[in-house]
Amino acid sequence: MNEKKLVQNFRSYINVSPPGKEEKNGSLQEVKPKLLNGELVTGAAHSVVMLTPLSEWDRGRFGSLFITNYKLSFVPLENSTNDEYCQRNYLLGAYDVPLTGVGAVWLTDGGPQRRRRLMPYGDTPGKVKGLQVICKNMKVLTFSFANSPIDNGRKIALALMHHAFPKRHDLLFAFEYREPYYPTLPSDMNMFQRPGDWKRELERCECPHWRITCINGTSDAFMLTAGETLIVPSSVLDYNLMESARHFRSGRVPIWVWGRPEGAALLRSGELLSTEQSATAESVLLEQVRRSHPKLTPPHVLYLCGNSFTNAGGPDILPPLGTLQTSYKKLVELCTPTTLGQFWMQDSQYYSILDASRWLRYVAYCITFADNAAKHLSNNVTVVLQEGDGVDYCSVVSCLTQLLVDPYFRTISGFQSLIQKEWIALGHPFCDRFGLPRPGNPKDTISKDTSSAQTAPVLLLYLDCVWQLLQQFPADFQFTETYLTTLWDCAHNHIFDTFLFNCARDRELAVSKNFVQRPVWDWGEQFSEQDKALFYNPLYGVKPNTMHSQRLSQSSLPSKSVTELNRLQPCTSVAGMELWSQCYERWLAPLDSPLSGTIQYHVHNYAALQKIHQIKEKLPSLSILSRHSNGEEPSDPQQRPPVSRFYPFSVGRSDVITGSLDSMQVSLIDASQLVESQSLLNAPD
Amino acid sequence: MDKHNSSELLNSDFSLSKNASSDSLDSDSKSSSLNSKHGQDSPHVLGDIQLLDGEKVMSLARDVTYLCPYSGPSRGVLKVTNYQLHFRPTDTAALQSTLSVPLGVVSRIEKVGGASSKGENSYGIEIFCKDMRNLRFAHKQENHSRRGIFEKLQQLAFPLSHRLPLFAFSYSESFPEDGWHVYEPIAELRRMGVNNDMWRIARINDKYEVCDSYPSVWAVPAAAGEDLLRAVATFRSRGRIPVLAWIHPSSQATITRCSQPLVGVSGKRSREDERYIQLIMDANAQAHKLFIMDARPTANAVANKAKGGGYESEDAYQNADLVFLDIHNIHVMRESLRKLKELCFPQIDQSRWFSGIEASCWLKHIKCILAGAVRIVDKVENHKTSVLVHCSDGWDRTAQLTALAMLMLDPYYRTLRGFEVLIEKEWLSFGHKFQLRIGHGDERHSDADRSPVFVQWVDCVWQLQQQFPTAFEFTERLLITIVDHLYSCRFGTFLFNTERERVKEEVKTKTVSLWSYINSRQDLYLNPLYWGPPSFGASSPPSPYSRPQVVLVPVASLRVIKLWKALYCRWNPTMRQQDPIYQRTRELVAIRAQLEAAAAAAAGDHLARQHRLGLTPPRVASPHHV
Repeated sequence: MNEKKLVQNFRSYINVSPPGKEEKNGSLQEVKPKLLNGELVTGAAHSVVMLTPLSEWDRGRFGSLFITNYKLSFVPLENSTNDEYCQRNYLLGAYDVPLTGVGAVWLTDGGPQRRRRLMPYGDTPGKVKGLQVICKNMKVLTFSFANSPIDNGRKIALALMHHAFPKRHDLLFAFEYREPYYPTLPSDMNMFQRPGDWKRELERCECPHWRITCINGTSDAFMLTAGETLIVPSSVLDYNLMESARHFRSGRVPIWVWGRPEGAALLRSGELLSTEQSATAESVLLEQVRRSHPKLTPPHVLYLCGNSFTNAGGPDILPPLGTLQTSYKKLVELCTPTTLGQFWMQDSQYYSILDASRWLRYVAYCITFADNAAKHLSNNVTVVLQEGDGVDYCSVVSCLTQLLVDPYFRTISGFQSLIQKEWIALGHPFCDRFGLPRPGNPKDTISKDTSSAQTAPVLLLYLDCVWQLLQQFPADFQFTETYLTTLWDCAHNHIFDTFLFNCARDRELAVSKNFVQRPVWDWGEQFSEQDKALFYNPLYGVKPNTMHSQRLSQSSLPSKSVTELNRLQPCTSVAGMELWSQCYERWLAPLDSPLSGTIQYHVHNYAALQKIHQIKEKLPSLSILSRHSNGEEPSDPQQRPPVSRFYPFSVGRSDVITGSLDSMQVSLIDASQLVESQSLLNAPD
Repeated sequence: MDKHNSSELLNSDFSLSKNASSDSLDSDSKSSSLNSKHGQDSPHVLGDIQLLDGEKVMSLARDVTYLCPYSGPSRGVLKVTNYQLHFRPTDTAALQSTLSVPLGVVSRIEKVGGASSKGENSYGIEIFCKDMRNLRFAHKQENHSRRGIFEKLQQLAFPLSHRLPLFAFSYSESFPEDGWHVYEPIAELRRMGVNNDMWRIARINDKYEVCDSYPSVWAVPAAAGEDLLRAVATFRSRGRIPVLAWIHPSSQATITRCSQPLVGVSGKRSREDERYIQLIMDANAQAHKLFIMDARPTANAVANKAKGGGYESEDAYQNADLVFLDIHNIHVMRESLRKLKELCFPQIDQSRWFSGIEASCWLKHIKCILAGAVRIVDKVENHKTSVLVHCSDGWDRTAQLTALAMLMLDPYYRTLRGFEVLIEKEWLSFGHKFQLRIGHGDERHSDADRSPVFVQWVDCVWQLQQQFPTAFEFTERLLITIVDHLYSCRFGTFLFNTERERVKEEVKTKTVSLWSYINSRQDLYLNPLYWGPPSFGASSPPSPYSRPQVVLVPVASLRVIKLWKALYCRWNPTMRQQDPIYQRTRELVAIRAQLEAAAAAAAGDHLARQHRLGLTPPRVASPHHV
């Protein structure tokens, strides 16, 4: 009954016969997808019904489905703007999915029930009545071809399977996109592409005992998956590095990523190979690391996947990537029910399914490692992270640690710089983890070499961890969960080069062949100012009222030692973790309802901030023109549009939401200005 | 401007200035409400005992070790007063393990170990609390060192079992407002428009003779005479006949509540009861049907026939649709919360956290109750049909459902005062057996009548708050404070089982109301995000945007229903919310308010100032009941 009620808001289109059914080849085919410069249609089907998510057979909308070399695009017949969700993307429509965002494709018999999964390069079906596309961002699109001209479904399926899972890297759309690009990145962002970028970071951290080496850019390179610039202890010679590298997986000797003026530094490395002298090589290097500490404190090594030598590690270590992928698949299953029946069935055993996925455990383990590392850093002890090839969990934990200890990385520019440093420059293999073909290699040849080319959502794991921190420290990050969710969506948009390569070398090779780099960080390429405004946390920079902060619990604690770092101390227990609803569950319409969810806090605070901004602008003129200001502005604080839980990703209730962004008039207001207004308040009346 | 505008001005100014100064208090909201004296804000030395008015130290034990499950053992002095148990560590560095626990929360006290027990700290006392924690103290193993304090604790924690009065009768603090006046039954019925054509106020139960567990004032169908009411009472379990809980301001659809009919195995009928139900249906001209929501699972309802109870047969009650809501009984709920306590206290076993939540079934029960309330709301709001709610006795599940449905339907109950009225009306006046369910001052800890029914309802309210963060005038701090004082026995509010008993014991004159305490520091509980009605007065016509969402329909899915960690896991320091979002929001709002004041002052614009202050609405009537 309750279930029934939840869906009755949807309008049924499918029971209505399609407009002008007899003239199938006439007006209907006029519908065209919006194409980008360089985009080509490779398959089309008309009179397609897109079924309403989580409905049974009878609800949906008519339209045409196109496959291009960039996206899957559904163009509804009735061109209403009503059903677009609020975040609008210049490159993609509401029902468009970039081909790299396609996770799995299922054959259906026209309804929401899945029949058979279509595998890339597998056999092609003879007849296609319906298709279901599970996107990597957990959106589910179900299409029925029951009313389409014969063979349309099969053509779509063929085109989709062919283009969504390309065999060669240079078939990705980024290589075809012809639109000129004029970069407008913020000046305080560090791309970590040139030696100078690393030098800037070293100087920002004030770490004099470390030096930059460019040996990895020469023919003596030993760490092929990293960029040319590495930061190592001042005392270590390039020659020693090359020697030691033979004993580490992928040549990943410990390298510096962050440090503090007091001496402690954060390093990351690969696992030791089981060669005879590897232990010696490691201790020699760790000794150099120790000497880079002004107090000569020995470093602490954190084995993220356990210590392969001592088999130490315990149950709380991070799993092999294959296990992480399995965990993710279970999570996807939980978040992509295809029928309402399945939705409620999952609901009755929600926590056991969640538990069985183990996803939140891995999230908690990452945060635990990061908290541990931050604790050591705050005690001025250098930390060395060690894991497999040093490019997966190392990136996750290293980033999280830096978010905990360094407020710079909690700004948007800082956060993006951090990803550039830890994920892009240091070579997280995005092609492999996202399941894209490697540059230069046809897909077939590497699929045998499964161990290193494992698909795994390591970046998502990281973003999820960051989201947990955001939940725990709502005022310490400049960005919002909407920013993180959008970033995850955009990670699968292969127009941008950021997440398109395995390592810096591959990228440089492509650039040398006239590949245009378009960093995803140029948000203006995709979003309007108002959409971007939702990336900014209105609470960021609001200082707690220090005058009144006489917290009983803290006043009695012994004062912190001088060298102790001001760090965030997160709850690391699994019990403190939550499911990232906005990212994973936003397509589940039954959960969406107006005026609900944490987004309400943000909407409220945007309005408050804006009001403060207004008054502040008005205040100087007021005191001068006190006689004139009879015209009170009509900005009633109650006048805020009712947004719903998954705003700005909500679909369906758009009649309420349409244009709400405009009426909200959110604008980018730097919350740090509030400090100023506080001082203004403290001034005598 | 009319007369009372000036007093409003004063009030608003008062709340504004208080608001700013109380921000920091929120940071340790976990239990700060328990023993603090409102009024006196002077920072006391941490660790020292703070005696309430009427509180006396009764016993003292030195050299006791408190075995804190989180920060380890600490040695100190244990004091027992007629209100609380207080432990102060000797080591000033360990002052964070200072304890101050109202004796009302004690459920059972046990001796641990004997004189010959081996091992450190093996000899002492263990105290099991109703608020999801246990306290262990270790004593020295010589001279029966624990005997004195143990006996004193037994006596003071369970005064009723020792023929002593509850602390509420000794407590004498005075507050600016008398909370006993918060709920006036007649005024509340008037707010809903009763008397009207269809409903009238009946005083037949003035002396509690018709039904001893019902309030003295009822609202019943205007067409029902006293004889009919008396006749119906004989056919309803314990005389709890259907009376009005809430009436829809525009459609006149009602929520009525009662106990089960005395059908029995033989399937007895009562013409009077059938006629009376028909009158309830007829009182709503919009529908030709009545929904009877039986909160129980079908099997339980059937089983009750054997005990003389049962449910309305659809043959006898034509035009009535019977629906079973499948909510389990008090024993199931008690067991469920016990499992949850095992999961949350003292240490959380990470490996079985989620499976443990599922196994406790607590959230499933919450879901079931919310879903039931949503069905009632759906019938009343969307179908304009009246709903009659009952379970077996109509004082546990029925109260949960009616109070929850009313909270969803009527924004008035989502204000601070409205919420107090709701509790007074649906829970206290209609005889939810607080004494039996909580067992105030009673040592029979395993009494089968105990059950966390009210706490479960408060959890449901919290779920609503979570789902609609802007819909409530108060924050979860109010809910936690209410739960704390549900047990504390400091206030008279939750004492005794029925209105009749409270009148007989003169609770209103001999004890202090919890609402006196809360209303004297409202600012502590106000939700900075509340987008309440712009004004409860009828002066300004609501614009489409400013109209608050009148009816809340929560999503009853486990994907949205969460475990209330701030209540159930609050003793665990690692699980504490570090930085509540509404605290920061409050700061933002305070800055805005101060800036607005500054702007108004700068402009010297008197009108603008009044406009601003007018935003703090006087809370007297619901917007659509006027």
